[in-house]
Amino acid sequence: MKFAEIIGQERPIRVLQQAKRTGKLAHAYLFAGPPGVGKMTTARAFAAALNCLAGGEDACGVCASCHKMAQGNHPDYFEISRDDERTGIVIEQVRAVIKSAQRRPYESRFQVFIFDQAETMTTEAANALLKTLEEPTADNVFVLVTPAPHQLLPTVASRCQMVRFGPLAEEDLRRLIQERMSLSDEDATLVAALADGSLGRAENMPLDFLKTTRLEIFTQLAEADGDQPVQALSLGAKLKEAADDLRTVIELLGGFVRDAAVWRSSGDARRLRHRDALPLIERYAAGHEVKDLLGKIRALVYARRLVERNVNKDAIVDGLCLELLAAGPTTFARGRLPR
Amino acid sequence: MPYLVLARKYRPQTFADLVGQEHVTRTLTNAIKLGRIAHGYLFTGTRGVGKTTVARIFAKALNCESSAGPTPEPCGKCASCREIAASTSNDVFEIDAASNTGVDDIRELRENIKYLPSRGRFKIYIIDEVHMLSKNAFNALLKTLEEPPPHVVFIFATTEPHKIPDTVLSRTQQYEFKMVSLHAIRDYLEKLMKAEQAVVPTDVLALVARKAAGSVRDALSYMDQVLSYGPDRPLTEIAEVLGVVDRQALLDISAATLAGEQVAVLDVLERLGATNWDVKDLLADLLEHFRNLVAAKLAKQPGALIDAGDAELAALAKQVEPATSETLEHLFLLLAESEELILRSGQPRLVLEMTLVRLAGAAKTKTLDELLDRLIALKEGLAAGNPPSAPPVTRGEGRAAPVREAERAEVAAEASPAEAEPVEDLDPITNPRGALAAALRTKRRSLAALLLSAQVVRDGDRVIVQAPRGVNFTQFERDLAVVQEAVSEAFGPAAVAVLEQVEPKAEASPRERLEAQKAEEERRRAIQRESLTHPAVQWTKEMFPEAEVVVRPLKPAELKEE
Repeated sequence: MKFAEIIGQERPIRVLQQAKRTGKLAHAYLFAGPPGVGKMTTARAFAAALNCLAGGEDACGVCASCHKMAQGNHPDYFEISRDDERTGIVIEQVRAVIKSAQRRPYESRFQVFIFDQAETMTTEAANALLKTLEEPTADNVFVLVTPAPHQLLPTVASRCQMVRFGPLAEEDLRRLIQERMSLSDEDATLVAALADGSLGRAENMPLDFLKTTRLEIFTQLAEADGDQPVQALSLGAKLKEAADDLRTVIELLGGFVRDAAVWRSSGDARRLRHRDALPLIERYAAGHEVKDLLGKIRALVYARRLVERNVNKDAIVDGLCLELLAAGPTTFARGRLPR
Repeated sequence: MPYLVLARKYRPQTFADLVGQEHVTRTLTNAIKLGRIAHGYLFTGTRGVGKTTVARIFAKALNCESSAGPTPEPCGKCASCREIAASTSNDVFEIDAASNTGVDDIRELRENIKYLPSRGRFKIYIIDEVHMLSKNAFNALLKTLEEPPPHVVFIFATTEPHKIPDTVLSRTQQYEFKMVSLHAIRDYLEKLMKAEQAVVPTDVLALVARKAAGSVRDALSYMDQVLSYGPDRPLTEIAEVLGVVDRQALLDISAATLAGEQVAVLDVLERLGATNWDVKDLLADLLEHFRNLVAAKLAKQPGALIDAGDAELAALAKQVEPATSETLEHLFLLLAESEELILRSGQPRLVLEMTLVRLAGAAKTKTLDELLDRLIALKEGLAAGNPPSAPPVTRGEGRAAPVREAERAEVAAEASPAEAEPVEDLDPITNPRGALAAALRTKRRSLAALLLSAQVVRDGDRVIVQAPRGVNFTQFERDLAVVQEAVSEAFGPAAVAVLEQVEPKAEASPRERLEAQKAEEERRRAIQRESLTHPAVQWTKEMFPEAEVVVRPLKPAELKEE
C-alpha cells in the first residue's frame, strides 16, 4: 500500500510525509477521524513508507520490505486489534507489545505497532501502555487508530501526536464507490450523498433498500396525518422488515428528519441529503415545527441507544413510529438517555 | 541522534526549568533545605503538567553527589544525576503501576526495600499511575509506607487521586499539580521555538496554547504536529489541522443564532463543512462561547471574565447588545442540555447541526418581559373595550394560529377578574408604594412586581426603596435608572430614588412554628368550650335533645351574608 494510492486525506498524508522527509518522526501518533475514511489504510502505507528500503517519502512498492508488507508477513510490523467484539484490546496484548518494543527490530529501521480501534483498549491495557508510549526506544513507532479519540484515556492521547482525518469529499467518495463497488453512475451518486463521507458506511449501505424501501418509508412518513396509531404500526412493520440492523434505518430516518428541518428553515434543496425525496420531505416538513423535529431527532438517538442495549425491537420501533408521526412530542423518549 | 519529540527533548531537568507548579517546587526545595524530607509523596494533577518530571528532579536532588547532602539544585553532571536522567540508576526505581498491579509485585518491592542504597543516599521508588494498583496491592504497601526504613522515599504519581485509598492518602504528603495557565504555556512555547530556531507566528502559539487546555505536554505534542505541518501556513489551515474551530466561526454562529437566522447557521456549518473539526471540541467551544455571551451581557468589565482579545470582546459586546440576558441564558441552557444527546448519538454532527438550527429558532421566541408587555397591551385594549388586535405574526407558520386563539382566550379570562378589582389608591402620600408601582408598570413590568416584596418610604425629597437582600435587591440595583425615572414621574422631578438593602424577614424556625400551631389549637378549643356554654347553644340543645352540636368557624363569605 502506498500513500499515492489513497484517495482523499491529502492533509494527513502530507504531515506524515513531511515528518519522514525531515526526520522529525514522533514515536507515537494518534489517527483520529470518522470510520471508513482511510485511517487504517494510511497507517499501513505509513508503516510501509517508514521501512521502505528505497527510503523515499512514499513506499516504493517493489523492495523486499514493501513486498513483505504487501504480503502481510513483515516481521517488524504489528497490528493490534480486539479479538472479539465484547472485550476490546486487553492487557495481555499490550504486554506482548511492550515486550516486543524492548527488542530491536529484526531487519528494518523501525518496529511499527498499529492499534486498530484503540479506544477499545481496556483501562488496564491503556494504563499499562503509558510508560512505553511516552518513552519508547528509538526504533519504535506507535500508531493508535480511532474513530473516537475522546474515549481514549486523556493520558494516552496526550502522549501522541494527533493526526486528524476528515470525511471524504462527496466527489472523492463517489469515485471510490464506483471503483470499489462497481455501481452505476446514478447509484454511486445516491450512495455517496447518504454515506457521510465514509467509504465504510457506503459499503454497508443496502442498495436495494435505498432504492425502494427507503422511499416507501419516507412516503408513509409524509402521508400520515397526525396521531393515527394504525399508521404508526404499519410504518413500524415496514421498518422491522426493512433491515436487519435497525441502526441503519435509524440513521436514514435521522437524515430525513434533519432534511425536513433544514428544508423548513432554509427552503434550499441543495442542502438536503435525500435530494431525490424532496416532495416527501416537503410534505413531512409542512406538518412539524423545527423544535418538534429536534424532539424527533432525540427520539431517534434514544431508540438507537435502546437498540444497543438489546431492548425488544418491536417495542422500540412502535414507540419510535408513534413519535415520528405525532405532531408534538410523545412520551417515547422522555427521561434520561440510556447510557 | 534520532529525533525526539519536544516533550521528551525539553523535559525539565531542574526545578527552575519547570513551567508553573511554583507552589510544589517551592515546598519541595524548602523541604530539602530544611532537611525535612518525608518518606511518602503523592503527586496528583491532570496529564502533562509535570508530575513524573518533578518526581525525577526530586530524586536527583536527593541523591546528587555534588554536595554533602540533598540539594535543591541538582548538578546534572555527577554520575547519580546522569544515571537518573538515563533511567539507569540502581537506587531510583521507576515503577509502572499499571503494568505491575498485583500484590506480588508489591511483595517483591517489600523484599528489596530493606537493603541499603548501592551508592546514593536514598533509595527512591517512583510509582507512576499508582491508581492502577489493586486494592490488595495498596493494602500490602500500607505498613511499609507508614514506617519505611530511613533510606527510602516513595513518590507516587497519578492523574486520578480519587482512586487512591484514604489509608494511603493519609500516609503521604499530597501535592496537587495545577493546570498551567494559557499565558505561561504560550511564553514557554515561545522560548522553546527560539531554542529550536523555528519561526512560529504568535497567533499560532496562542492557538496551540489554547488547544492544550492547561497541559504542557499536550501543548508540546500539538506543537510537534504544527511543526510537521508547517508553522508558516495560514492560521485557519493550522486551526483545521489541530481540529480547532476558529473564533470567527463561533462568532458567526452566535450572530446568526441571535438574529434567528437558521439559514445563516447552516451556512456557517457548511463553511466548516468537510474540515476536520471534532464534534466534541466544537461543542465545548460553543458552550464556552455562549457562556461568554452571557458574561458579556451581565458583567461590567467582561474582560476579567472572558479569555479573549479586545477585538473579540468588542464583537461579543456588539452581539449581545440587542439581546436580553434571559434569551442568552436560555440559549446556553438549551445547548448544555443537548450535549449528552449529541455525544451519545450515532450521528453527532447531524444532531449538533439540528441543535443549532433549533437554537436559532429559540432566539426568535419571546422572552418573559416581551410577553408581559404584550399582556399589558392586551389588557389595556380590553379595558378600553377594543377587541385585541392580532399580534404581529413573526414566524409565518399557519399551524400556530389556533394556538394563538386559545392563548388569547386565556388571557382574556385572566384579565377580566382583574378589572373587577377596586381602583387602587395611588396617592403618593398615603400610598407611596402603590404610586411608584403604577409608574414602574409602564416602564418595566418585572420591577413593579418585585416592588411587592419591598417597602417604599418617603423622607423629604428622598424616596427610599427598601428591598430585601438577594436577587430582588440586585435587580433594583441594576435598573436603578429605571426606578429613578419612575420616582420622578410619581413624586415630582425633585424626588431622588434611594435604594436600601434590608435583611429578608427571618423564616420562623420549625420549633416556633410548632408552638404557634399549638397556641392556635388551644385558642380554638377554648372558643369551642365557650360556645358550647353559650346560652343560644344551651337553648338549642334543650329544643333538640337528639341533635349533635358541632362548632365550626364561619367562612368569610358566610360572615358577609350575616
